[in-house]
Amino acid sequence: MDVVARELTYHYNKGAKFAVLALDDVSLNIAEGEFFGVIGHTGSGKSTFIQHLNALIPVEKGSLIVGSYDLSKRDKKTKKSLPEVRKKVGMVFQYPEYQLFAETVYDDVAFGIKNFYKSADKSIIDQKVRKAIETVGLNYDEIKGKSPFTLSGGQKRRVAIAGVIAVEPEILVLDEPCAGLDPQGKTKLWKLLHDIHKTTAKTVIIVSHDMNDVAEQCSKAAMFDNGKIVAVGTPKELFSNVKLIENAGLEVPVTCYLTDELKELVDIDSDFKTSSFAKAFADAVKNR
Amino acid sequence: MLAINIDNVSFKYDDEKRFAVENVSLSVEEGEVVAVVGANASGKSTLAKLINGLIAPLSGKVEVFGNDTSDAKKLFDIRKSCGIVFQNPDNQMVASIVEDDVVFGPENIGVPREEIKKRIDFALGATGTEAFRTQMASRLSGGQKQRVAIAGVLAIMPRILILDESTSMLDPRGREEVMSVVKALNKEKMTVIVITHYMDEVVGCDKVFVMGQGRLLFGGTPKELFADSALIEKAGLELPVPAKIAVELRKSGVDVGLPLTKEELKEKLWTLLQGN
Repeated sequence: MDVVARELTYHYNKGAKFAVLALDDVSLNIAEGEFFGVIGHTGSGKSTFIQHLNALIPVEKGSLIVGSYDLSKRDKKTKKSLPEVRKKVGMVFQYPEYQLFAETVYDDVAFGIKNFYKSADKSIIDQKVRKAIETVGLNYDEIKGKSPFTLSGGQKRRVAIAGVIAVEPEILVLDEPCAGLDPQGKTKLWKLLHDIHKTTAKTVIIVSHDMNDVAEQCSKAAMFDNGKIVAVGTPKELFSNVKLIENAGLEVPVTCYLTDELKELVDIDSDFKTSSFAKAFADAVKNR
Repeated sequence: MLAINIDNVSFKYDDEKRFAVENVSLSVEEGEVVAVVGANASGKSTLAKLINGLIAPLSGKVEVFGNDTSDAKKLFDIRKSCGIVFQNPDNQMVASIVEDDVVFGPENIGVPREEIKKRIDFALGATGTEAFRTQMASRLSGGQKQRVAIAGVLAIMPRILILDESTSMLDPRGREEVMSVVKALNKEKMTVIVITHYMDEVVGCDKVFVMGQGRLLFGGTPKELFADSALIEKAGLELPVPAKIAVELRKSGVDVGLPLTKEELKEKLWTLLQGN
């Protein structure tokens, strides 16, 4: 499923005195298979954009096509297809552990499946719940009967993600998935997201504030500023323009800062990942 | 003078089997900026609550400027001298208008009206939030809200400021705003304790304590901590990004030591290139 947005515009409180232009003429393609970063400072329009992807926010102006679904249409057929869209585009919000509600981990993870597969029998649900819990790296038999509220922060977040991937979405969208986790929890979660990308969801879309993470993890990214998209490309393309990043109110990755600061002395050609930067620097030193 | 003295303290929550904090001893000098790091559930926040007397130790002793937190008569003074800012700014705002929120603390402890005015000016000034004085707190950005939350604590005029993961919900710009307020306050001799998961926030601190499963695993300078790769691994920490790059550089045959800031790393690489 590709995402194709054309001239997408959206206002909060449209028509009211305090109307806010949140998306301003946004056009963007996200091809199936990407590990896509959505970046920008707070209030730049990132969250508004991703909430369009499963029709949580209706299209106000412009067009949005997700796979074979045209979300800009308002006819009966499109409305009827919305549950399907939401099944195929899974959304993990910021601090998803705050949305855990059921008495057991099992019930929490099963909730989405029961909603989307109304006629599924118990054995199929069991199977899907087990698979989702195991995918996020937890022990099904050990954890299924526990109350989600007794788990650690990192475990809770995994359970919340399990509830979304249990429905087997083709596109998985996560808003700041690593916020508030300790460093090891963060490293493990990135690994998990890449595993999910390889096995379950074809496309992963991630909202992130941390440009070092984006350089390290994403295959492509789009940069939002003031409701507009100011750049789209691979980390290598995006972070080559330091001025652009800084003007959008973002911090450049450290590798990108070094490349820029040292450019008078040496030309370091890397994709800004830590390891490739180090290799490129060592090579450049040798060849001087 | 010792701002905080924790002597062989243990604490357990009622419904838990494991000690949240076990046999911990540490001290903080007045005017120091100290980081506390460690995995989730390692006892960092419990330590913060022990320091301002929200909870009392089961054994051992916690002293804040010489006052024992187990002494009920001293608690009021201890809490006045020790303010905590929590993770989510939305959870600690009590009024809808910024100014009213900052007034809440000093009004509660019975500060006279004239003095309150002065304190609000000071707190808003120190956090750079004067411009929002009469605005709705709900209309501010995360970083702005968190600075207002700090202003609310400053209005009590604490001698110790504890930030319990106060930057974890902020974007890099918001984090920078908060950390620059911390630096400014520290210049005025305030003791600051920063509980954090961000290693770049540890780098600028005078001292760092590492917690692991309720125990104190390390106390020393950031430089000493990051040089100990076994400890970093054991405590579930990571190197700051510039140090990670230095490690990768060493693998590629370029040795620049272990710089902790990007400026330091740049200087090292610059020197290396010029000597080349």
